[in-house]
Amino acid sequence: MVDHARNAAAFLQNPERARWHDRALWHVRQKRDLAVKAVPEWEALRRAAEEIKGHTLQHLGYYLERFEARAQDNSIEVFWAEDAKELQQIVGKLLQEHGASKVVKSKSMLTEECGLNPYLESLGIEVTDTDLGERIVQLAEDRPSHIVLPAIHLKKEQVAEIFARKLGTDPNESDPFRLTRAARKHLRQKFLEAEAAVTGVNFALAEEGGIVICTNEGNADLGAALPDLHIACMGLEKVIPSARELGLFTRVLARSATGQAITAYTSHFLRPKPGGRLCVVIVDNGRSHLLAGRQEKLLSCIRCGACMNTCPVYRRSGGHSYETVVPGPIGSALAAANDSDKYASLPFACTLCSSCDLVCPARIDLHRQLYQERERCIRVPKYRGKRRGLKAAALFLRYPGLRRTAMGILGSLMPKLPRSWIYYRFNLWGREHEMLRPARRSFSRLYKERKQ
Amino acid sequence: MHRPERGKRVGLFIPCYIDDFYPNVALSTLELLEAHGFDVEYPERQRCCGQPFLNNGMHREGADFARHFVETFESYDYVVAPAGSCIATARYRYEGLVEADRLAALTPKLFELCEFLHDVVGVENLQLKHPFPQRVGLHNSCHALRELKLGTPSELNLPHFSKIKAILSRVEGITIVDPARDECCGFGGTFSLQESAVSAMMGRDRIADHRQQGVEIMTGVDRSCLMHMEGLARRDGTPIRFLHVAEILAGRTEESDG
Amino acid sequence: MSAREKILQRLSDRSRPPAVKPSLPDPLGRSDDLIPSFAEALKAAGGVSNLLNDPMELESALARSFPEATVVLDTRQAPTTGTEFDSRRSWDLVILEGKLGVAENGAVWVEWNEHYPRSVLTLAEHLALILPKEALVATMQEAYEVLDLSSVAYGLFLAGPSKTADIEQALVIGAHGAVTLKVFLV
Repeated sequence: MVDHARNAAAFLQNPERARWHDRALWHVRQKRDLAVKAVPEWEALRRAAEEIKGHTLQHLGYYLERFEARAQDNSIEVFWAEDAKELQQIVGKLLQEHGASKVVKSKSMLTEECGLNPYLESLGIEVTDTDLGERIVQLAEDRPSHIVLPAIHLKKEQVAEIFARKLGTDPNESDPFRLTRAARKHLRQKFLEAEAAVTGVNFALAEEGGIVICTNEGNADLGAALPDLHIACMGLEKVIPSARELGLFTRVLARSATGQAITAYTSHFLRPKPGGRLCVVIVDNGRSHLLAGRQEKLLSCIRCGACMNTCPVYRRSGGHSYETVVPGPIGSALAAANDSDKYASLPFACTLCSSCDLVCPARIDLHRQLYQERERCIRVPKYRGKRRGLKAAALFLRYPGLRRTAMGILGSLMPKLPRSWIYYRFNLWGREHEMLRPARRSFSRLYKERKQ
Repeated sequence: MHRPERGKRVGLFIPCYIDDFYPNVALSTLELLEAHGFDVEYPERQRCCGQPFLNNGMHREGADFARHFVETFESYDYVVAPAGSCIATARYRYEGLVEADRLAALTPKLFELCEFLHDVVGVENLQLKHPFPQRVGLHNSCHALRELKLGTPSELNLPHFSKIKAILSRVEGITIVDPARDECCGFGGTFSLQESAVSAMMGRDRIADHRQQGVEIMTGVDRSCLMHMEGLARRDGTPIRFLHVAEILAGRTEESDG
Repeated sequence: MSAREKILQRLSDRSRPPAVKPSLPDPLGRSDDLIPSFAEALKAAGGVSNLLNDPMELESALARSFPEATVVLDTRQAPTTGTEFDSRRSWDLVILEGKLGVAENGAVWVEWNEHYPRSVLTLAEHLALILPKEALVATMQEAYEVLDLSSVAYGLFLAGPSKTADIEQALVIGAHGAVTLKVFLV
């Protein structure tokens, strides 16, 4: 079982780093606020995005079939995968048939979720992540800690060290500009050599039968432009009715994600390039099971990462503390919905502050989702002690008179007790806080005296 | 002055920790409500609102407290508490745990104190007699800000307002100071125990933010958040005082006998 | 049963075509002053706009703006037939025609006519986009109302040059695609 509290405490062992992480992401949140406040109809856009996502999920079967038919009209090949394994096999087979041994990949949380890279590598295929953050993480043999900013947990000096080791750059050169230029040069070569491209999908247009990919770096466009095979992998929730609705989502995505008005590239792949193949793989991998319940709303997520940037816990515990592909509020809700035993601690890694609900461009009720997941998560064996403690507390709080008397005794005892008795190791409150002393006379006593 | 609400019966809900640790907050609330002409009653049979259990997924235990809360308070014209988080629990988390029609009848009568003073009494009718010529940092507790919507949270693109500030600024001489972030303090009930490391950093960050604005007194409508920060500040020896908004409004700002 | 059938079966109660489309909110009026808004948004996206009062100035403005560019591809002209085109080569400058510009974000819609390989778009060091002033709309919602995607194979909104902030959130212009992008409004 993932122990978020333990992972978070480990992250906070380096307070300076944690403070940096918090500030860097809060800065992104502030950029988002500025961008959002420049759009007077912002809150109406969020309501519309929520409505469109709800509508699309309500007719999901229709829109997926429509997308498939229209994409096929456009000479796009459509594949379906039940789970991670099927996605791996479909992509592996397509690449092998194509004779591709070198693949460039642009960012896709779905392929990360489905473990595509290790699978392709097991087939002897070289996979190069081309998003800078993902490439850094790949070279470091690390994992992304954020869905939009995969390497936000690394400092530039660490990147310099990784690049020096893997790309032969100067280890003392930690200027982000120079490091980025070095990566551009290194990856340009990979692009030119690639025999196939694998990308994710931000939106699939049912009516137009095409896919839309949003990047800032241009890596999806460059990757897909050179080789003759482009495989795009999408979760089935990525479909939207038509380009008309895209007009709304392209207004909210980048503003929510990074505070940009739009990503540098919003690319519409509606037909294969001349002489090339464009294959789209539609993946379920547990998604359809979330439908028809209160968790359905989780499928409205457009993966902007705003809930991570705003989450006070995420910012102070780091993306890796969740041990999931998608961390933060949305990741915790998804993980608990899919496997409440393994991820039972994640819904509790939350103060229910509900800041995430308010930045979510699709208005997902994230804090409510996490609140509700707790009902299943509290039942795992690991929380037996906590459950018993709470049951005892419930019994205690049921008798206000008993509670008041006990508190009164505690109040008079506390000053007489040695510190070590009060701050014994099971006093969880005392780990960080001074104990506060109950008042000499409780309000209820004062109230009674006042009435007499 | 026109006071259509004068004489109405108010059921006073006092969270357990306020009863035990901060009687001044409860007394202040009682005095304020009485001073504005309400017939206030503190039903002694009241229990916890159930939040610690509901927030931990223990809905069976939570439901007992929810039912008891409804039974205890449904006969009043209004139910007022100096705690945003308990009111938010009763308003938003009781659904499905108690009879729907009884809940529907009770919900509109539930008010956090500042919300009540703002929405029912009216800012223009406020009778505040105690000046407080101090700089006071306002901690916006999450349940009051984002759930009860007592103000505009920084996440939303909506016109700015704050019911708490509208009330508090009527106190003579007061200077209300906003921190740089309207972020959570990290209390979160049992969160502060289970995730003590993150919780403590969040609380310390809030205190530091207020201190950076030159604040030596922090206030808010949730004494639980302030209690968390108070425990941290005392551990660190940080010179900062914590007062509930009700204490400032009612002039009970001297050190209590706690 | 195939994966397709299994998935669609699970969605069988969601296979009805919708009776109505979801509604979209009206963008709040910013229809005037599109040119300054566009220029400002493009600047924020790291690009540059150049407003030309006289269309005759275009060629000289292009030449003036990129004096160093020697390997230039002007996509306004169709390729000479019969010549082999190296899709992997880099370009100092690629000149493109934009069909539509969006004032709220500085994006320009470029439609690929496939006369040239798609790669020239990202293998250009500098991009020059030529956009008619009348082709500006206020928001993305209006842009998609105007666009007809039915005959488009590959099209994109380009908002400034390629960029990244993946190292310590420090913005670096010039990731994998163009390092500069200039829009000529004619």
